[in-house]
Amino acid sequence: MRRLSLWLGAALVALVVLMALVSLVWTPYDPTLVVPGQRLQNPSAAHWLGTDAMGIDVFSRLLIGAQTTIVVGVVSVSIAAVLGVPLGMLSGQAGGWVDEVVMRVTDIAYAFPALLLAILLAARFGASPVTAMIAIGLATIPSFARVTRAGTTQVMSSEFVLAARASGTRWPGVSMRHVLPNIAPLIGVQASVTFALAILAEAALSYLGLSTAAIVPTWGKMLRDAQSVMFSAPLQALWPGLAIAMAVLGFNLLGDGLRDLLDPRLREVT
Amino acid sequence: MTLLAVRDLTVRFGRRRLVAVDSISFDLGPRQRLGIIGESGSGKTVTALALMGLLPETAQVSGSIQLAGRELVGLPDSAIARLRGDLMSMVFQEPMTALDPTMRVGRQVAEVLLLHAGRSGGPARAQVIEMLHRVGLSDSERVADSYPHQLSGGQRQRCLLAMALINSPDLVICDEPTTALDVTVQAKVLRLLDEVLTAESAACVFISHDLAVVSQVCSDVLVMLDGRIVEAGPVARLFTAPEHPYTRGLVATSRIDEVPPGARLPTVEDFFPREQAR
Amino acid sequence: MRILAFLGRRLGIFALSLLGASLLVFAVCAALPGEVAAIILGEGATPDQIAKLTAQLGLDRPWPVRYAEWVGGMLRGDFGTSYFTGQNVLQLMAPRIAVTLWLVFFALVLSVLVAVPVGMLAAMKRRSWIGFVASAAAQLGMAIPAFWAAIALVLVFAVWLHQLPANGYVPLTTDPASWAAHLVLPVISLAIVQASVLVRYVRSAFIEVLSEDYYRTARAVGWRPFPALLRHGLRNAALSLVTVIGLQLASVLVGAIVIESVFALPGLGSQLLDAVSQRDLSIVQGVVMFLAAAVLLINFLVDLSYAWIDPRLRTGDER
Repeated sequence: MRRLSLWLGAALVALVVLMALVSLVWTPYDPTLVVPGQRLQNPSAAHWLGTDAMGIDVFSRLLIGAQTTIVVGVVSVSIAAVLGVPLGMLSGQAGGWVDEVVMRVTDIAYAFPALLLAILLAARFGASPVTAMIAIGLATIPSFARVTRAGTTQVMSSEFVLAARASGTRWPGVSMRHVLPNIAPLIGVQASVTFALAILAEAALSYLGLSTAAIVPTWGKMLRDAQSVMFSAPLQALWPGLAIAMAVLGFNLLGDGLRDLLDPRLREVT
Repeated sequence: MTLLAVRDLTVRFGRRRLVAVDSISFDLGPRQRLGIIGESGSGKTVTALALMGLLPETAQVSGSIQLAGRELVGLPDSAIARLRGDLMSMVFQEPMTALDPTMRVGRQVAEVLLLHAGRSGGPARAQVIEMLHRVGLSDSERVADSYPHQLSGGQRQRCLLAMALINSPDLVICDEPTTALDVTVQAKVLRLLDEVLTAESAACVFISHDLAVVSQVCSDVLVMLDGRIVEAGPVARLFTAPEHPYTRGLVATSRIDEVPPGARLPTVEDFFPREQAR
Repeated sequence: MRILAFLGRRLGIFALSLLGASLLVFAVCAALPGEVAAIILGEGATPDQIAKLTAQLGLDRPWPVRYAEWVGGMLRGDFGTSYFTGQNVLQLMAPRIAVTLWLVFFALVLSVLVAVPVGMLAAMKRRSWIGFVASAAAQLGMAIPAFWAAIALVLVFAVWLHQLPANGYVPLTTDPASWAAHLVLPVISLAIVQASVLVRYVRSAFIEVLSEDYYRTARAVGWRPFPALLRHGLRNAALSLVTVIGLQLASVLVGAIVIESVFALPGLGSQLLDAVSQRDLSIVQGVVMFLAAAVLLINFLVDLSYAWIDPRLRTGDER
């Protein structure tokens, strides 16, 4: 029971990853193949989840969509982590005015939502998955920086770091050998939660038509297509929505489960 | 006639049913003062919370607690809540955190009146001011209009005392009420407690780890160890002729002022080796 | 004095945030003026034509000058003009502000009204199945994309039950009943996600209150658990929740952009999306800055509300 969120989260995440991996080598049909004669078919043995308004096999599109989801998540989280973690470590180790400046800047950036930044970038550079990923990544830097800073200050005040510094270890050594390994689990939790956020943001963007290049099927795009036929084929909206919810739930639960595992004191609170 | 009769009170916690209080029994008459003494984890605070019906949901209580002839064990919380703050009340250990930081103190005291006596507005306020005055807060008007953070620890403890006493309860349970205070303030609050309990003719269960403190307020003492009562009797006898080795240790440690300079201070373990007992 | 220092500091942060946001918006939308002309002229424009139009629009001047002009204009209430139609951006926004405002306001109010009691219940019953169900429901609600919930609600209440309109908007002054009917589904779909996120914060804030000594005191003087939490917990929990609700506002606002698109509501969000698809950068610049300023202003007001909630800030002297 205690580990429920961890295992359920891991299972759902594994399922999404599995879908993406399978789609690399196999999909039942070509997920971009338009077959006008087979529009909006109900689920059947041939088409497990039916076909969409263009006659494309829904299950195949769903599998391929998992790829985009994983790629967008990995890239956005990487951008946020690569920039946010060093910033947070710098802030937590340097202290003083550096800390003050970094924290105030992240405070300010915190109020600027990922989706708004993505819309802004799409207006300027044109809508594409790349601008979406960059926007989500940049917008989540502050939360990574904050979590990292909190963890770093805690590690820096611990006995073993004081001992290491007293014996002459310089700060790059302290960062690499002591701080980073100790805050890695915290960053893992943050990465998992941010991953969920990135999936939701990307889905919203491709629903709005602000992320997807025409060919690449994503779950958000599928929902956009489904809405235009929702009166005649409501099931179309079900599958991609379920897929998004499953992926987001998976990463959120995984993050929660990890946090519980790492910090039993927080178990009650979060 | 007894006010409080406790029989075979047992409290277990959690799924593993760890025993915190193990079949204890005692009686308390009206206006009587009973000290419960023991180290942390001995079950004294759990006993107090059991009397008040404030144990967490994970606790299982068995046995019997009769207050003024009414059985409390097994009573639903809604029924016990009506008695709390009215027939019995409690003063806690941490005056610094036991008051709501976002509400004026006078209102917090008045709330207890409103809750049980249904009194509010002007008459309630007058009664609150008078009660604050009685617990030794001379500028009680100003205190009533203050937020907790504007008061000292001693003042806050007096406010809590006022909350506990304003409905003239028959029984006041004090859980280490002076432990968090400075030694000088501690002595003042104890003297005040003694006076006010007498004036209100309330009985008292006084919980402490300090025999010296208990002896200032109480006539009788229970000594608890690992959830059981190991010794009971008048304070004076416990000091002069303690029977249980653990009590002997407690008495010795409460008289460190009599230890000759340079000699090693006594510990409870000198009299009662724990490893052997466990 | 304490409160003045607090207010001064908050005001400073608010001003800096506005500065930061405006620089960001400007950098993205207007820092490279050549592109604006290229976008307006479309593909196939010669460099000469681009240079000429850039000069015509006054975009060939150094960026600090243009930035100052833009900010100065906004301070006077001039949010610029559309590059394509020459319409005043503020006038374009004006009729749409109310739509977005109603949507965001009701969604926020509804999510707080739902999340506070549910979160309190989840905290109090956290060891029983009731608490488990409340937490699980919050997890699910967080995972559902708002626009998917919107589509589902439309299917059920508009398509199958024919109880509510599927999309569109009627101004309050035209027909209040129809106005309300058109807002019900958008507000609910936006509030579901927000309420779910809030429930988790409310729950942890109240779990903290439950372990506080003053809660035990309240119980000891005879309050039952729920009234004790309401009377002595709400204000204390509000201290941490107010910040969260302020931060939530930003996500409600961007959520509104998506929801307006689902329900074809003529609000700021749909205007922004239209401008993005036409790549009318001056409208994008104006609307985004307006939205960002609104978020920052609310966060500033939220900060100020601390002074009202927390007497320790108001009265100053701390012991």
